[in-house]
Amino acid sequence: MSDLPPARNGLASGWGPGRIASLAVLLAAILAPVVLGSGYQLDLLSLVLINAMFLFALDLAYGQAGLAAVGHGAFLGIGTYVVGILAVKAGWPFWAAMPIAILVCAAAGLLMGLITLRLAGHYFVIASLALAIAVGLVVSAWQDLTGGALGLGLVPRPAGVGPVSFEAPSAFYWLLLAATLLVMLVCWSLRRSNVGTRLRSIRENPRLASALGVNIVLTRLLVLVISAALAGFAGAFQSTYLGFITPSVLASNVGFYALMALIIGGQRSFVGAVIGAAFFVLVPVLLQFSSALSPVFFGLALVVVILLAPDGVWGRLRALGRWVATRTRAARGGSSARLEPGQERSLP
Amino acid sequence: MTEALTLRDVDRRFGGLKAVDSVSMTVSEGEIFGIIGPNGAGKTTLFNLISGNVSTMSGAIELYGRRIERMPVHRRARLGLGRTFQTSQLFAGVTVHENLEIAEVSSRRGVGGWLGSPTARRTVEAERVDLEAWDLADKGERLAGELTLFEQQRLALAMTLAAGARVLLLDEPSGGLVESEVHQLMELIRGIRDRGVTVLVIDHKMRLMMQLCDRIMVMALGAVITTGDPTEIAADARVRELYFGRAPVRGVERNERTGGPDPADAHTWRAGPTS
Repeated sequence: MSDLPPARNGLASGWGPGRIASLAVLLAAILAPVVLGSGYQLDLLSLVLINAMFLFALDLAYGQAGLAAVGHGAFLGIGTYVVGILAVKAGWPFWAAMPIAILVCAAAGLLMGLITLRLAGHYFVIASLALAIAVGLVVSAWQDLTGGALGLGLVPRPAGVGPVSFEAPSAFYWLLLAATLLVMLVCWSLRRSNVGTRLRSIRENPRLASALGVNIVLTRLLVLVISAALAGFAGAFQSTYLGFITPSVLASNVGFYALMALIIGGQRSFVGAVIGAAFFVLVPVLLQFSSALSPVFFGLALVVVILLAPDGVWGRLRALGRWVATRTRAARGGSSARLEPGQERSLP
Repeated sequence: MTEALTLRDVDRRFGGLKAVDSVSMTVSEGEIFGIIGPNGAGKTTLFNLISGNVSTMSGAIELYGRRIERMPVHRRARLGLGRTFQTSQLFAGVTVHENLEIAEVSSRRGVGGWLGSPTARRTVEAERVDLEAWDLADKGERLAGELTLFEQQRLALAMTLAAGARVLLLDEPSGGLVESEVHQLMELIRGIRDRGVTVLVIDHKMRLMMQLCDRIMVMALGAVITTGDPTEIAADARVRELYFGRAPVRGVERNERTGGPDPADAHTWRAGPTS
């Protein structure tokens, strides 16, 4: 057994640059309220966490299952509105409304999957976008329930658990961080499970996957439902974060921008999704002096990343880290530290 | 003997072209069954109909007595129907080890089959034995796309068995292989049969087919010309005419003087699709 190469995946595979970076990001995230205080910057970081949850969910559909779900923003918006409606119109507490938001989004994902998953390529993209537009129109038109264009408010913060209150910005931030880690854990478990293995086979070679017994439609349907439910979970927190909800949360371009942000940050990677979420939140803020510049910047960044770093910013950084590590080992070990097959041989 | 695979009057047309014309056949469990014929005879289309990659227009296909002609590809695979393709099909971007893992996970059922972990059942020792059996022991961490053609073929065969194939469709398994590799391939296929797997094979290398197959079915223009053991096939006038036309080649004339073509010399057949 000892002559077998070590597993490439799993906890036993050591501390690579990805794991070290993840731990550094986590530590920084935990300490952020201590460093930043409770001001605007923490508010922005809270929004980054909500969008990170959403991008983790989107990555399941796009990065793992290969579904270009440009309309996935609809599930985030549905989750936001479900909690908003239940809290404002029916007086439900957040903790009761949130599971309903998850269930509604899972049901919406199931319905969408049953209708669209037999569609291939572009047709699925169009169907996904159509769903986002339809949900936005319904919410705008159904004024009695949703408040229409006037919006819906005020959605209260989640009630405290025991002695812990979430009213303070820092406490709410830590709640969001815990929720983000929970979504990450769900996604990680799914990727490590047989579902993840099946998804990998579908991505790599759908014809062969099917010939080996993988039910492509059912696998994608399952992942779409889970992804929609997680987007609804993120939407529930978005609802209480915003406090006042308008149909802009269901704008059809939300999914487009989120998809671009995920590709820019790096698919199939939690750090990549966090980078994408930061990009998604911070670019409009940094370019707020001209709202027209933001989409231009997104478009340019996407083109640059596709051309120069197809694996996204995080993929590029990881390749650079591997290259540096290999060079360092080679410099230390001299001729005995030769490059192994498959290792980076040139500057990434 | 148990019937592993049965086709009854299976038809498939593409527009005005009858690609498979009322084909009926029965393959017994543990048999190596060859299908030969000129290019365009309908051999690969027949495999596609059996595996579900192309749907039948009429007729029945039974796998161990169970009708499968309306089932999707993955359900037929789960019932034990495995196949390889003309061009080697692997998960080229992942390692040999992961290819086998994917194949094995594909066959799992139930809640555990979805939510369990890929490594929960498959032990490292089992993986090692598997790779040794296919002469891939030192290739476990190589990307499948980096393997030689013969290594890729061996991995493709190993994957079908890992996925639980009981009836295996091999489409041109010797394509691109050199003579010594073809011989090893033949031994591997016999080894697979010895594990109780029924094998259907299409190949243009006549020597391989004559030496390997228990029975051979000859097709032309989508229809079955004849079925028999290699000696009968080599001696069949219709087959000779199909392959050689009206002017027999010298090698066959010599064999006819000695009592009909010798299957071992079948590689001397020059006409038609032989290579």
